[in-house]
Parts: sequence; C-alpha cells; structure tokens
Amino acid sequence: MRPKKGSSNNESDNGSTDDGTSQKETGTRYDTVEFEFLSELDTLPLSDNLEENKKFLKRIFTDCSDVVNRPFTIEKDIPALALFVDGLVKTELVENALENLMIFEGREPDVESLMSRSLPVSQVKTTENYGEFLEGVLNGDTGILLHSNAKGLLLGIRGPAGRSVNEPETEGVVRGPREGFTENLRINTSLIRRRIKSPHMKTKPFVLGRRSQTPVALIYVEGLTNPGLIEEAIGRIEKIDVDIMVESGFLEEFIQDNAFSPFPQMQVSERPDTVAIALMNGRIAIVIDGTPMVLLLPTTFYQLLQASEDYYERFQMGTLIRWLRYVFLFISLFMPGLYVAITTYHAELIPTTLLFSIASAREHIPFPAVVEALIMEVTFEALREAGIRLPKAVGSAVGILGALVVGQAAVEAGIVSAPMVIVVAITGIASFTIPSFNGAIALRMLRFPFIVMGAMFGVYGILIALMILIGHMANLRSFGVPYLSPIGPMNPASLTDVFIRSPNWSIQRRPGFLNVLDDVRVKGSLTKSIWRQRGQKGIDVNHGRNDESSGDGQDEK
Amino acid sequence: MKNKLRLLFIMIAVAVVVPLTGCWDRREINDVAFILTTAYDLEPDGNFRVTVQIPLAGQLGGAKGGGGGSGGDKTYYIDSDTGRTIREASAKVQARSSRRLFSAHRRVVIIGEDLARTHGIRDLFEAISRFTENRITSYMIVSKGKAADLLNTDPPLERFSGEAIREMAKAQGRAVINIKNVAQELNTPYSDPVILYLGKKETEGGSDKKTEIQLLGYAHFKQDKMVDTFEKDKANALNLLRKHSRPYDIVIPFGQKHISLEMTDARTTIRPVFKAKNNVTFQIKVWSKMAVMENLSGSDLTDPVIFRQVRDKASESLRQTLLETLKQIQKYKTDPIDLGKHIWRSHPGKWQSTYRHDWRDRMDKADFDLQVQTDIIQIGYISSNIAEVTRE
Repeated sequence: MRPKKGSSNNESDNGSTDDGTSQKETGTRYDTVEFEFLSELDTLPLSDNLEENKKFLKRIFTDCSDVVNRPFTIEKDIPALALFVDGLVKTELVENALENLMIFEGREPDVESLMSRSLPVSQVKTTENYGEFLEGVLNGDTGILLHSNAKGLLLGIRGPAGRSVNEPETEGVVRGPREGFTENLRINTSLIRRRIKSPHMKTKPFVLGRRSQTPVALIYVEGLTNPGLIEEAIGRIEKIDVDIMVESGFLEEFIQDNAFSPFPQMQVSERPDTVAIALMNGRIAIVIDGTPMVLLLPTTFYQLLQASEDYYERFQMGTLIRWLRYVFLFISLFMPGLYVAITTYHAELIPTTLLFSIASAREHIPFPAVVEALIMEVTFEALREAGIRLPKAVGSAVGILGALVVGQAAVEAGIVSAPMVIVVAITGIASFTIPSFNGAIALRMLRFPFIVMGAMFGVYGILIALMILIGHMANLRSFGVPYLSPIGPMNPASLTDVFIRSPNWSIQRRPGFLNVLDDVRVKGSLTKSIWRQRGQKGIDVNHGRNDESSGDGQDEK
Repeated sequence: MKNKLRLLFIMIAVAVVVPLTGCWDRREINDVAFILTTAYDLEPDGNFRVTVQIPLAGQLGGAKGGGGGSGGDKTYYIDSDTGRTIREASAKVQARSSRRLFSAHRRVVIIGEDLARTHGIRDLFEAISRFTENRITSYMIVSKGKAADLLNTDPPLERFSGEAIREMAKAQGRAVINIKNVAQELNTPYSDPVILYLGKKETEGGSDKKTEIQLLGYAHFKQDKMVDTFEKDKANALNLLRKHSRPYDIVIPFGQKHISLEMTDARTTIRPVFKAKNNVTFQIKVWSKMAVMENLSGSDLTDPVIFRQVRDKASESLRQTLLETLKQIQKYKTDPIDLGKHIWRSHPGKWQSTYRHDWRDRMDKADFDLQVQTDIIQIGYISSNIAEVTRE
C-alpha cells in the first residue's frame, strides 16, 4: 500500500498539536483494540496523532519495564516518540540517531525526508500498521513516530548480540575454522554468507511462534538445490503453528518425516563450514534465532557419521577414521547385546582360554549376565547424564566417582564382573566416536532392546532385532530422500564419499541422491590431469638448476 | 485401518518368530562345567570308562589365580565312571555334578591303548558325533597305558594336562589329527589312520618330581584297531612318507664319534609304476635339507670329501629308517601313507579294476624304489670348535 499522506483518520483530526496532556474525552478507536497476537494488528494503521499512538502504546506496554518510551522534539515544535526495547538496541547508536533528529533543521518533517536526509542509519524501514511496527520494535529495531505522520520509522540498530562468536563446543576440530554459530540469527547468517558470497544463496525469512515471534531463516542456494525440496521445506515450515520456538529441536520435531523414529532425520551443526559444505551439496539449512544449532536437511544416515574434519586432513586418514567410526558404530550398538547372547547361549563361540577368563571372572557374580549388563549400562548412562548437567568442576568429580565405584569397587566386591565393565566401557567409548550427538543418542537408546533380545533369544534374537532395525531405517526418509542412501537405493557414484573419503579433487559431482540442478563440483579435466600426473605439476618450474630437467615435463608430453 | 493391519502383521510376525528359537537353552556360564578333556578306557569287564577333566572356574582367575602347577590347590578336577555305553558312563558323572557338563570346549580326546587295541575306536565316534555340542575338531590322542593316567599328570608349564596335550598336538603343524580327519580315514576301507601316541614320564633332574607328558610318536592302526606304534625315528620317517615333514634331529656316527644334524625341510614324491604284471612298485623320492648342529667327530666339514661323506651317511641313515617304517606298514597290511590313493589318482582305471578290491593283500607285496637325496644346507657359522687348539 502506498502511504496516504496527511489524510485519513477522522477521529484524530482534532488532536491538539501542542504537546502536553491528553484529550481523554475523545475516546479513540484504539481504546477498544484487543488482540492476542501481533499478527492481528497488521490491519491496524498507525495514527497520525502522536498522542493517540502514545496512549495506545502505553496501554499495551503496561508493566513492560524493558520497553522504553522516549518522547522528544524535533526542531523545537514537532513532537516525536522513540520506542525501543532496552537491551535489544545499541544504545549509543540510538542516541546518535536521536541527536541527529533533534538538531534537524529547516525541513518539513515527514517520514520520507527524515529517512533520506537526517538518519545516518543503514537499515531503515517505514511502516503504516501497528503489527509490523511492534514486531520490529520487539525484534530490536528502534521505532520512531512523528506527529501528524501516519507512518512509523523502524531503525535497524540492533544491539548487543550477547555471546560473541566462539569456538563450537560440540564439534571441535584440530584443523579447520574455529568459528561457531551464536544465538543471534544475523550473526549466524553472516557467518554463512561469509563463506558463500553469492546472491544465489538465499536466506528466506520466516517468523515462527505465535507469541515468541522467532525469526527463522531458511538458507539454500538457488539454481543448485532441488526446487521441489525447497518447496517442500517451506511448505512444512509454514504449517507450523506453535506458541514458542526456541531451539532447533522444536522445529525438527514439527517438520521431520517420521515423528516416532529413534533416528534423527536432520543433521544439527554448530559449524558454519559444515553448513556451507552442506549447502554446496544441495542441502538446506534452517537457522533459528536464539540457538546456535543449525538444522541441515535432508540428512541421510551416513552423514551423521561424518565430521567436517574428514575433509580437512589427508584423505587416507579421513578414510581410516571413517572406517573406525563404522566399526565402532556396530560395537556401540551390538557389543553388550552380543556379550550377553554369546555368554548365555553360545558359550562354544568364545575361544576356550578367553571363556575360562570370563568364567572365572563371573564365578562369584550373583546376577545373570543380562541383569549385570543392564545394571552397568544404566549406571553408565546415569553417570554420563550426571556429568553433562553438573557444573564442570563437579563433573570431573562424577567421573572419578564413576570410575572408582563402578569400575573398580563393584568388580572387587564381586557385584559385576570385570569383562562386563570392559564391555560397557568400550561401548561407551564407541558411542563417543560418532560425531553427531543426535545420531549417537539413537544408538544409545537402541542398545537396550538389543540387550533384551540377546538375553531372550541369543544371537538369533539379535539378528531379528537387526532385521527390524534395518527394515525401519530403509523405510525412513528425510524430506523424501531415503535415509540409507546412497547405500539403500544404491547410488554408486556417491559411494565414493561413504566407504572412502575420496580426495577432494576426485569428487567431480555432488551427491546424486539430492537431485541437484547443477551437479558439477570439480571440472573433469582438472581431476583427470591431477590423476594422470599424480598431483599438480608445474610445467616450467625450474629451481635454478640447469643440470637436469625436473621430471614433470615428460608427463605433459 | 491400514495401521491396524500393520500392527496385526507385526504381532503375527513376532508370534511366529519367537517359537522358532526352539527350546529355551539359556545357560549362564556360572551354571556350566566345561569339559576340557575326555579320556576313554576299556574296563576289564568290557565296559567303557569315561574320565573327564573339568577346570574349576574359581581357580582360573587371571589376576588372583596362582601360577601353573606349583603344588597346592589344583585348577581342575577329574571325575570318572563306567558304563555299557559311553553316554551311560558320562551320564553317571553328570549325575553327581552340580553343574551341567558342557563339552563344546573339549579340545582333546584321549583313547586308552587297551581300548584302541582290543575294542577298536570306531564306537567312540558314535557318541562323539551324534550331537553338535561335541566339537569334531578336537584333537585325538592315543595314550600309552591308561588314558586316565595321562590326564592325571600335571605338566608344570600348563594349567591343565589337557592343555599340554593340545599344545603338543597342535605343534605337529599341518598334520592335524582330529576327530573329523580320523573319521574320514576310517571311512575308506583301504587307508588307515595314524593317531598321536603320548605317554607320561617323570621329569628328571629336579628335586621334586613331576609327571610330564611325552610325545612318543604315532599309534599304528589297521582300520579302527591299533596294531603297533611308530616311535622315535620311525615317527619322523612316517611324517616324511605322509608328506608332512617337520624338523627333527638325527644323529649319525662319523669317524669315532657322532654328528648331530637337524632335518629342516623335506619334500617327498610317491609315484606308482607298474613294472611286473600285477605288482606295483612305488618310486619314493625324498629330498631333505639338513643343517649340522653339532660335530663331535673333529672332521673338517669344509673339506668337500668329508662333506660328501657326511651327506651320504645322513642319506643312508634316513633311508634305513624309511625302509624300516615301510616294512612295518607292510607287515600289518596297513596303508597309513595313502599308497592306495596314489594309485587311484595316477591310474584310476587300474585302481578300479584290479587294486581296489584286494588292496590290503597286494599292499604287502608292493616293492619300493626308495631314493633319498640330502642336501646339507648349513654347517654352522664356525668351521671348527672355537676352543680348538690352533696355535702352537
């Protein structure tokens, strides 16, 4: 809508221009406005009578001690009002802006001219309705209302961000960027933008939460990401109707494909580099204000087993580390269950001398192996939980207690056997090798059904449970992408990033299962020449030695 | 509706799957007694005596458990009973045991010499192989004297006598003589098994005597009955003939004294040739490599003449033992070195038409063309004793 300058609002014509007190008898239409959500005010226009506005704002912000309502005067006689939330704005800059307004001279004070001439603020927006105005103010903008102007100004001088950009705590690396996301949406998007400086990287804004009005940005790369996928993600987000949105977990639960699966169908990352790589693979990132955790979707299972550092160090190491994770994935899932199953059903499977060691350790244990396993696993989980919630200083005490009480005293007292302690410890370590925490939780939970099945039906039971598990995983989808791809529906070209970590120059195409629009990653000719020369070789590099040619010339011929 | 059907399907699947497990055979390790070794003997009245060796789990402990066999509390116990069948005897042992006897970890089976000689070993396979719990890859051993006596030794280096026996059997390398292999050899009417032959022996020299187990050689079987033994050099010669050469030492007289040689490696070929009608000659060639380990003769082995003499002596000595071994094989009309199989492989037609039916009778008439060739590959790193007087 175009601003209807100066006209309108019949009730407010009579408003006395001079400041000072009220016109109480004129009962304005704002007196009766009741609303529950800000969006209901989108149809309520701002008044060009400042007093009316002031009165209405005062009413709706009753008892809001953090909302500052600062009347001031522009050039002696034009009353104006600044409205902002203390703490959300950068106070010095606001003061600077107000100073500019107060000494503004000679010009007719209408919003447009203020905006263009006297406000040294880069982000300024005008609005005509209360809904937008209040939303801006509550998001940290500074709202300015002028007398006889039915338009409000929103100065985007957002304030102290809170935490500064720190090293991500949940995804540490030895080599790689040390920036992590913060709780501030803008900082987070800027961290991503810094890595993808392209207008094609879109950050589509949403506001989620009926009451919380949380800004959310959906980031994708236009012309790369599958448009169907973007449409699907937007569609799912738009359906959400909830009062508050504080963490990525809230959003994840609303938009995931299978609400009851133990497996996470979205990846969570604190690292801008991880997000940037994901975007370049044709995935979508969702940044939510108020949390450093960014959702990446769609996510397949193997992506939960990869860390960004796999790509930063040498590819051989990346490959070995990946296989280590795959092995330990199975250990963390099966080890206690298999131990119980084999010792109680298939004693013949254990090498004799090992069996004798186990038998002698178990000789005085009062519990069957299952009970022992459950006791230990539950204790371990409790210890881990206690360690996470406690302050760091006390946390280490828990570790010591756990090691002493569970590890040693229990064995010496003959309550649990030493092999079981080893099994539980290895299992615990194994679950830490999985880089994504949400992926590890799934395995931690599923361990228990495996123990129970192993205890009831032996290895046969474990196999049944495994079948069910594989069936379930094969059935899962993340935004339409099969969860086990590229293994589930076999996609041979993408397998090079699963079983091995191919060298960066050799991955010519983006993962096939994401149906990207542009799948060229590395130009084929480059890959070819690196492959042929076993690296890049200069043609004419001469290190000042004339006695022999530097071996690479031949390759070029 | 679809969900309900699905739920029903899952419930049926679970209900079907669960009974497939068969019986509820959960046994905690604490409730099981592992049989480590079983010894089978023949009682004078014709019954079987079954003796089992069972480790005591409480005594096995890694950290607290004491060392090997230093007196005091044993890490195992031995129980025994008799019965008309092997099962009956072991059931009696089971009846007085608080734990279930579990034989899946039995790795050695010992057969008493009496049982092997008079009753034959074929009946044993019945009880052993009928149930999967008994593993048929257990080593088979024939003991000199009673099998139970072999169990009652306490070899100082191992925790259990059964373990010591197993280690010795394992050290035989490729020539694995286990229940399965013996049974296979018993399957064919024209070849015979050999089984390791062990006896006990008091240790010498130490102040407290221990009974140790000693590898004596092979028990010589004719089908399932033991007829003789191959001991000492004959056992090694049998190894060569069976193409499972293992390093062993020979001593040859040379000059006034002796030379000790180690045969490090050998290769054997056996080729049947049919020169005379209806009679087969086996061309047996043995190439052996030897190393001089000790030379008391004082001769200089670097001298080519002496070197050749030593070599020929060694060949001759090896040839003699090989011939003696072959003679013993023929004497009992047995075929533990698979001579019949060699004919079968090289001349299948002939084997089928003439030799197969009465192989054992033809066997003892077979001729042997035995060639032994020895290389001395090493005479050690000194040419003469370093303590020899070399300076005037």
